[in-house]
Amino acid sequence: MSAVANPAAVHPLLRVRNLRRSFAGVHAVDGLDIEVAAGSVTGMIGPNGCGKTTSVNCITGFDRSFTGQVDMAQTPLAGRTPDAIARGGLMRTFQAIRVFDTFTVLENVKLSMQSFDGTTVWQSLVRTSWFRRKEEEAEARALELLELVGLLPKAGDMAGELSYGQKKLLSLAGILMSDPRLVILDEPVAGVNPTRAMEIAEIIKSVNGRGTSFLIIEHNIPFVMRLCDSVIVMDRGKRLVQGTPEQIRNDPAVLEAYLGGAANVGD
Amino acid sequence: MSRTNSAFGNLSLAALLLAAGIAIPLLTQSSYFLTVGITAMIFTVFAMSLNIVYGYAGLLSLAHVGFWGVGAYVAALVVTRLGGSIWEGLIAAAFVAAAGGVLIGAAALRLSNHAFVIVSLCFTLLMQMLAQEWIDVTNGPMGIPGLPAPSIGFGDAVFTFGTPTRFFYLTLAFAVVSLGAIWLVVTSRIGRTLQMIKHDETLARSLGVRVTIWKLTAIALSAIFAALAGGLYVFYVTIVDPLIFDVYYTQVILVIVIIGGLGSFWPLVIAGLIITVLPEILRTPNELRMISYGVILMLAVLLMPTGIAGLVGKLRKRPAAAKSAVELSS
Amino acid sequence: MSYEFLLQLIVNGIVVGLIYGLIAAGLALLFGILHIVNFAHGEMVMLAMYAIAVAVPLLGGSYLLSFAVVMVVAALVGWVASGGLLAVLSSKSGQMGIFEKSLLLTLGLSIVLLNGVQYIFTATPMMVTTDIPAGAFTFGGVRLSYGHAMAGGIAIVVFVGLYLFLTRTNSGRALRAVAQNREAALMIGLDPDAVARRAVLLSVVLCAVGGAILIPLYVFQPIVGQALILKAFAIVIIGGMGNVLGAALVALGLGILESVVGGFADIVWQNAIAFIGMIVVLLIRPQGLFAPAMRKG
Repeated sequence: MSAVANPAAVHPLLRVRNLRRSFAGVHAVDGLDIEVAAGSVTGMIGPNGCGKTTSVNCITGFDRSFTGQVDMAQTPLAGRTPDAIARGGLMRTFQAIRVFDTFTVLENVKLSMQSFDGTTVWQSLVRTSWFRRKEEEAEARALELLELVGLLPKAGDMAGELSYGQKKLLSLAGILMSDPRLVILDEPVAGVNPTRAMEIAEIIKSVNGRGTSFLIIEHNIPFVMRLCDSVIVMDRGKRLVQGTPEQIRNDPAVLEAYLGGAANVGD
Repeated sequence: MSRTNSAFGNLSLAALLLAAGIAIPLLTQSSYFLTVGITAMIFTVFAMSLNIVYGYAGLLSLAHVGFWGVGAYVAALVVTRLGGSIWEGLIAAAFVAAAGGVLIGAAALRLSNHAFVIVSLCFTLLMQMLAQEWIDVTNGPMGIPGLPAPSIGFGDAVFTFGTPTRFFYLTLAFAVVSLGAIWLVVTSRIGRTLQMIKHDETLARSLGVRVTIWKLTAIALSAIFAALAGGLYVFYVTIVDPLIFDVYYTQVILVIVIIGGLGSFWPLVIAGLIITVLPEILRTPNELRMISYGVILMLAVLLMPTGIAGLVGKLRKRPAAAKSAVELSS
Repeated sequence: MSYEFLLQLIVNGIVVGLIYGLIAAGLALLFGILHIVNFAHGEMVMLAMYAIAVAVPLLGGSYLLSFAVVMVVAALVGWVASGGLLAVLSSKSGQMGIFEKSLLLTLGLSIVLLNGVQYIFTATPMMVTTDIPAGAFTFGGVRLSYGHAMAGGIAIVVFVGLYLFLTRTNSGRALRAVAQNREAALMIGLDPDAVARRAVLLSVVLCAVGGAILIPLYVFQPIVGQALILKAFAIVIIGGMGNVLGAALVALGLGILESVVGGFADIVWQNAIAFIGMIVVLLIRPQGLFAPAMRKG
């Protein structure tokens, strides 16, 4: 875990420079500069409407009407389609939780792997033995991940029947199937009880330990402060400050942005 | 999402239908009943092709009848103008339809879903207009009559599918091969990917699925089978004219797909066979038959949008605990 | 090729374009406010035609009286239909979205209406004789029959009325608000259901007017709705789906273009213009020539 204040390490995993996105004259993102160091768990907080989700949509290619630079491992992402960016190792979840309701939990996780196991259409049609081996591997890995997130007993249930919190775990399991380099979680613990939130934090730490970097967008500040080793604070479409939780906690600009002083930020 | 995924279940149902199919011409010599049977099989394949793009990929494409008609004309033209055999005609029809599908798709998929539907409709109408006005090529409203019966030749021996019975078996073979191929496709990863796209395109994209390419694939595949069905059909009725694009066909296949159940397989096959056979048995006059199709379509959309497959699914609600992880591979 | 001939073509085209405009405006309205596609739109026009055809002999050949009666009936039918439509669309059955449902429903409805009328009246082309005087205005070598002039006149009046309604009345502004931003409209307390019903009513009446003014001019048969809807769809796509003003302008342009082309080239090209225009627009500017919001004034 990196203890550097500002991870302006030589080659950050994700680098965003001067990201700008306006909607009908409103500058949702107004010159955002952020960095996510490889191997880190970085948090992104900020008041409502400061442009967090918009930035994520731009970074991950779901919104392509922006200007600015977005690079992952020095490869530019700007202008690429969202599926290409996903295949490049950058996965994300959605604020409004998305799962394939009419597939089972296990199938959901396996489906998340389909574009990553290197099989071709022909192989899947003819069901060659190599293909079948890949399917078995996918199944094994899916079961592993379901166990990690604690959904193994529900493997055969329809995803649509899961509770809100369980769906969040499911989508997390899904995006981890492809062993991504960077995972952007959009409000992973919103609407989730504290026990579940702790479970999710543990899962993130565990996966991070194996090399996956995380960028976590959240409103739940204690969660972010406890989990992340670097925190980005956004305000009005820009980065206000980036630093360790300690630094953020005491930064006057942050306190002011949250309108309430020290009482609001931290625990 | 495993429906009837057990190999045994599928094979036995297929065997049953095949046996019935083989038996029918042995039981009746009436060219009327054989015609009904041929039409039923062709329409079922036609409806199943719509199912690929609408039921699986979730794209309501009204271009379907356009591909059916284009296939019919291409096959007819290859035989009458270029002197080819019907087999060459059908292959050409498939190619042209696939190419057309990709072109239309590439242009129309950029639009919103709503505009896509309308554009697909306009494609069919455009093709109809071409058929009517491009007299030099299509012979206009008179159409191209006198299409010869399909034949295969091995050296001097030529076998012609000239009788209804023979054409019935030809169509049966066609239906078995087409439906079999489609079954292979939709139960494979391809089918699952299309279903992912249908249920949540954004989620699919975020999981690395090249959504647009898959949609184009679905469109091309469905166009191919529609064109083949259309080609075979006009060689049975021995004439192709602009009426091949009539909204009647759109109506019928939509009714079949919706009543059978979007994205289902066997319920759709059964629905296809029943829905084409029933009006013949009832012998209703043309307008009334059309009106009943329209009413059935509306009722189906209002009362059973998931079709028979959906109703059956609700009846045998799967107890969650019973499905173990092992059972789910396909 | 004389100047007068061209002028004649243009004048004819304006009348046709105005009629197209009424029909296309209704379609754009439905899409813009309710996000539904109405496949039965052409049949609605056709029904109005047959309604007038039935009314005129019953009312002693009086066109004006028949027109009035049919308008009232259309308004009633529109109101009832709008209630039914909303009830149907808001029921949450299965995975089918409103757009898809409306499409399939109206497709079924269009076939029922088309075949129903054909069953009752047969497919034979018909013509209605009304009390509209047979002569024509002539000015500068251009001849405008009274029937055409009346059609154009009524259409213009209706368009002006529509414009005033949308820009000067609260109901009209509510319609535009919902079309532009449904959530915002909800937030300021507009009732989207009431607005939706008004949109359907308006749409039905526009179709009825279109059919009513069309009928004294041409021969008609049940299938006439299908040809009209095709043009209407092309117009709406070219203008931008949901854009009423755009639809009206494109309709006018199409009417004029078709007339001019028809005067100089084969009639085939006349019908092809709508298609070609649609294809060109789709390739170059898929969202339509005018921005995709309902802006009038």
